[in-house]
Amino acid sequence: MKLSLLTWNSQNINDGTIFNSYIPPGQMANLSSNPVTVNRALDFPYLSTTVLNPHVFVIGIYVAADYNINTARELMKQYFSIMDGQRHNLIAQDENDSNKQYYLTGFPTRITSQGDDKPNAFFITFQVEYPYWRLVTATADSWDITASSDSFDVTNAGNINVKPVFTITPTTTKTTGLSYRRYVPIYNNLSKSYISPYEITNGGLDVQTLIDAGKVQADGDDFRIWQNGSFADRWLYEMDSDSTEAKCWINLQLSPKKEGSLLSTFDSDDTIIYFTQNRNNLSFLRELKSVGNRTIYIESEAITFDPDNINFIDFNISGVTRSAKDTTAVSHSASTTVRHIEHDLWILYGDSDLSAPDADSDNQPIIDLSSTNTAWDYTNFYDKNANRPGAWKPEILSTKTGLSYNFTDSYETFADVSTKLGISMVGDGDFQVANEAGTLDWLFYHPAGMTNVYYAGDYRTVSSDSSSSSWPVTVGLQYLQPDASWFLAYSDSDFPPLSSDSWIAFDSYDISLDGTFETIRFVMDGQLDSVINTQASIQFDDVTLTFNGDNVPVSALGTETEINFFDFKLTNATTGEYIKVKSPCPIDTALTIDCENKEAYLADGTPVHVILSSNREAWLDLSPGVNSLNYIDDGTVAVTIVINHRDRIL
Amino acid sequence: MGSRIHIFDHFQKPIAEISVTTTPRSWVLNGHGRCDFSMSTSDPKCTERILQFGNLIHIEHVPTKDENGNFNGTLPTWTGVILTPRTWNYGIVNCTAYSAEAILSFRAMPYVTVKGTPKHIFSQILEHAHTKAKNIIIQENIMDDIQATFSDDLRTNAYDHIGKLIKDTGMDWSITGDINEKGNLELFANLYYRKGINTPLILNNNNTELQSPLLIEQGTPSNQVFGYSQANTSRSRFSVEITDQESIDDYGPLQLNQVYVGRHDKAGIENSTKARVDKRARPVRNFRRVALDRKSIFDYLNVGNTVTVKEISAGFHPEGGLGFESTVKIIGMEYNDLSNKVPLNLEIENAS
Repeated sequence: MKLSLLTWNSQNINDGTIFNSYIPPGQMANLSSNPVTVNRALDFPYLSTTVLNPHVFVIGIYVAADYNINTARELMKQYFSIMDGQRHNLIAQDENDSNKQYYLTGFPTRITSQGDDKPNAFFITFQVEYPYWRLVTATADSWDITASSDSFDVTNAGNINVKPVFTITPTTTKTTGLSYRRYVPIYNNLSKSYISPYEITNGGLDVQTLIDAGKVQADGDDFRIWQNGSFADRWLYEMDSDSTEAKCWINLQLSPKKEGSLLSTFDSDDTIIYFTQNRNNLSFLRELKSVGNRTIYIESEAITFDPDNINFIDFNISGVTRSAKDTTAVSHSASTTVRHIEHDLWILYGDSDLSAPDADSDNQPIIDLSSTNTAWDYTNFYDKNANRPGAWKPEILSTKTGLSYNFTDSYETFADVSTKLGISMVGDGDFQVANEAGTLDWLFYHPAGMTNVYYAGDYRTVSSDSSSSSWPVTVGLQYLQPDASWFLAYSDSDFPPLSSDSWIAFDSYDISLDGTFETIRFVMDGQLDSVINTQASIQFDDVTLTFNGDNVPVSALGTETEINFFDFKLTNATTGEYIKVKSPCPIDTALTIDCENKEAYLADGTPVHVILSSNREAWLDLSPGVNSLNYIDDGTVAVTIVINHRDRIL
Repeated sequence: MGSRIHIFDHFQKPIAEISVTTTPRSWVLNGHGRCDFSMSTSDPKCTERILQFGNLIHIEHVPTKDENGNFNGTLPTWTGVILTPRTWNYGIVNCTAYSAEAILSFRAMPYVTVKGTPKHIFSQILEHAHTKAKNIIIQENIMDDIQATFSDDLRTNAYDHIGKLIKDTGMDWSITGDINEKGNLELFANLYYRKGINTPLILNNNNTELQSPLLIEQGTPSNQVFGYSQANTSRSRFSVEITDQESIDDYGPLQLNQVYVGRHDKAGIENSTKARVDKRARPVRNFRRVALDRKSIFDYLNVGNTVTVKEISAGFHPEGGLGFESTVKIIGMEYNDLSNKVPLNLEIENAS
């Protein structure tokens, strides 16, 4: 390698017009590292590892003949400003290899004269991030694959390992694997978190047609949910070939809503979104800077963006990608709401070989899966062994006797999973002890808030004195009024019954609450008469909760699109290392695996998870010389891989 | 590198924008951070009105640029209150500020008992905080809730009782600040189911400083906790036993008796004990990483956010050998304009 300098920060420093420059001979081999040693008793230190040192690189520069030295010196101080604080590139060419260009990146940290006898000559010292030279123009090798287990040779012309960028594009769908996808954008309508089971088809998926067309297995085993780069647990209802509406439940976690508004009409071919200049939009743009999923949603169009293109001064995002996620670009009028989509969520199907996925039953929503997002039906309420989403919670807030309890099955018995919301207040069998006074409840919270509660149940009282029954003052449904206290929504006026050991069923109630309330409970609150062994019990069942539909997240179901479901292993047979990737990818779009920046993403910026074959720092290096790459993905028909690598000379 | 610093009076009205070399500052999840700054006594803005104790300070990070002229990431704003200590040296005064959560340590609570869901209690505490100190208004902003009832006997200050609520519920909280259209500083109280976002940031050798120790496993684990309510007699005392069977299988029983002062109800004891076991059934794995100002990394840094850490040299890997790749939560972070890097305190959420 024989380097001659060309430019610094795009300024020519070696064309002889103003400056000539050179690399002093010693600079091409000026490297160091520090050993890490560990002292040992009665032995020399153990040689543990090395730590690489920061490096400097020095060039010589002199003013061209016939050019005013004073003028040139001042210009040189501008070129190599130590006050710049911004990294720039120093570019040189290899005269021994067809003038191939290489670069270093750094800051100028010192400018010194080469001595009084050389008033036109100076040394410039750069603090560089890496002491190795990198190719200015990356080498691009193209590899066409028509079947699994294909191999290809790539040559690294440098003298150290290089971290390539693989751009992998399927041009035909595989003959195996999941074949279709449908986008499911979901956004929160609330300024608080929304954590709840959610039915993602929202009643809008015609499964019968899909099954009849042979696109989905008859039992739905290949009906999968892909969320943020991996499969998510899902629970199906009526996923079969009859006409009953199918449902698919997931556990959804949404952070508080993030939304802004358009300043002006955003036409279908525009790529810069302008937001109204107000505080809300500034907060929105700030939030978009750090979100994981770089997708916004306007009406029914998904748009992806690069956070680097967010402009807080002009309130815009430039370079956005329209009609992302298989949606269609349309014009949007001024003031339309722009929403961030927190999760990259897809329905995938179309693999006749897949068996049912594993799903953790501890996470299965406890509600009846026939429910909808705005009305939940219950036949089970509580699971003692798992904190299942949608469950009610038993609470003993106070009991004077310590004998009162919540029960979970019919008539003061217990079951796991519970079938009743039971409460029993129990007095003492001893006259010396005060009668029972306490509060017991079954508590329920939902961020959307309830507007209506339907329930039925049974109750009874037990007393040693057959002439009197004992019943606490408050029994029934309550709601928690914000910043106030519990209010009784409804209590049967027939309570208390005559003293009776037998259970009495009470009518079902359909209670419309006086507003929307996030927290409700079935409660027994009060005291029992001072009668030995008195007991008051009630059980609620057959519950249906109706939520405020305006507060429930909004979702949509995208159009069906053919995909290539990558499930590949890419091996560098020369080093023995490999990476594995599993991801849906539309046909004719690229999956990029950037080994230098350790990032993998789809064409729309969606992150992709990469698994390494060993516990190592590098993703998949190319070692100096020839590297034999191998690609395995069963069912592959046509995939093109472009391997870009900026070879390095240390 | 560098920061913009605005000072507001204790009515949240703007006073001045000051220029100081560095404002080393910290953010702490569910606590208050600290900021130190120094001014020349000959600086015309070094006045008692500007540096008055009780004044509010709002600091915005100014991002750097990369070699292509693109801005690197920006750190979250820092809002706090100027308090003691203030140290005078010859020609220079060193001031101290604490993040806005600290304001609530100066809000005395009345002797009352509050009950309800966490949001309900949090809201009541804020209301009491405003009752007799109306100058600084802290507005309710994000108000998440969970399905559990708690109670507390208010005795000390709002900050202490919110801290107690947070510890018992496992939720997060913060006070954030923002300058409104009129130039006034607004403060917002937030109660989160879980503060922060899951970021795509992966911390690795490319973007962090090499430092030791790589990992600390610490804390007193308790996988079988006996919780008791505050009571004078055994009859009126509630007790509850919560266990983490997987932890017991791994380590054997590690028991703890925990009396909850101010708790009188069984549900509250149960919720608090469960939260204790959930959080501490296993040793806490804390470690530090120092994030470098590279590309958009600073955009992703905020307390409560989760990032991914890939470590190949520390911790026992579940499949043998060393190393882990895990999602970690940022529980504390610092920034110094001069070093332009961000030491992070991290806690492992889940590892593989």
